[in-house]
Amino acid sequence: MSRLATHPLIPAALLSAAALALAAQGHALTWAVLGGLAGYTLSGSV
Amino acid sequence: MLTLFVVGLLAGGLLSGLALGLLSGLAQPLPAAGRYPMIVALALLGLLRDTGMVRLPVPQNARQVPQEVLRRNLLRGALQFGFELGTGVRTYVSASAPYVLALAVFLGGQPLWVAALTGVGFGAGRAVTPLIRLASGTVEGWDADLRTWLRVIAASACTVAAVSFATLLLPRL
Repeated sequence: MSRLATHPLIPAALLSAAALALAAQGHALTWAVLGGLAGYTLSGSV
Repeated sequence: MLTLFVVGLLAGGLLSGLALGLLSGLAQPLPAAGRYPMIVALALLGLLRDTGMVRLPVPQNARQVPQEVLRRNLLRGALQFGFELGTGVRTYVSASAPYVLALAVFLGGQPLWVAALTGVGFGAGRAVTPLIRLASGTVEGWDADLRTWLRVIAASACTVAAVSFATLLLPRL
């Protein structure tokens, strides 16, 4: 897979876009996606 | 082994989400008019913290999962390793967004299934890292990119949380 497609910013960008889109629709799944984004911020922490 | 690690992450996140969802009943006596803006303010505070504009020590379990966990039994160790990371309370927490989300679940007064899904989402978010790192084919390069962009990722997560919570919660007041 190309380095661009797996760049560390890509998951953050996709999760951010999904959270904002779901929030705009008032969807409860916003919480789950924000949870995912929060989990991803701990990348590199073990 | 990676599958068990991911299962552990999801289970750990589910446990933390359920625990926070159950505890959120304690915050319900506070009116939503106070709780919802507080959630947005906490996300903004997280942004300030992650950009270094404020210093705010927060509680964390300053430890790593011991390597012996994996040495004793590789498969069970992978599950335990994932579970401990997935809870978010057994190891270092190097960014503010997990605190923001935990407090948001506590204050948000959402149904228990929403809290549970938030926890599972947290575990899934943690699972993305090893999966995409592996898929990159160049883990050293990926780690270097992560080091370069991690602060941006952390700060933008709090920004997105603030905007999302403001969009989702404030119109309900």
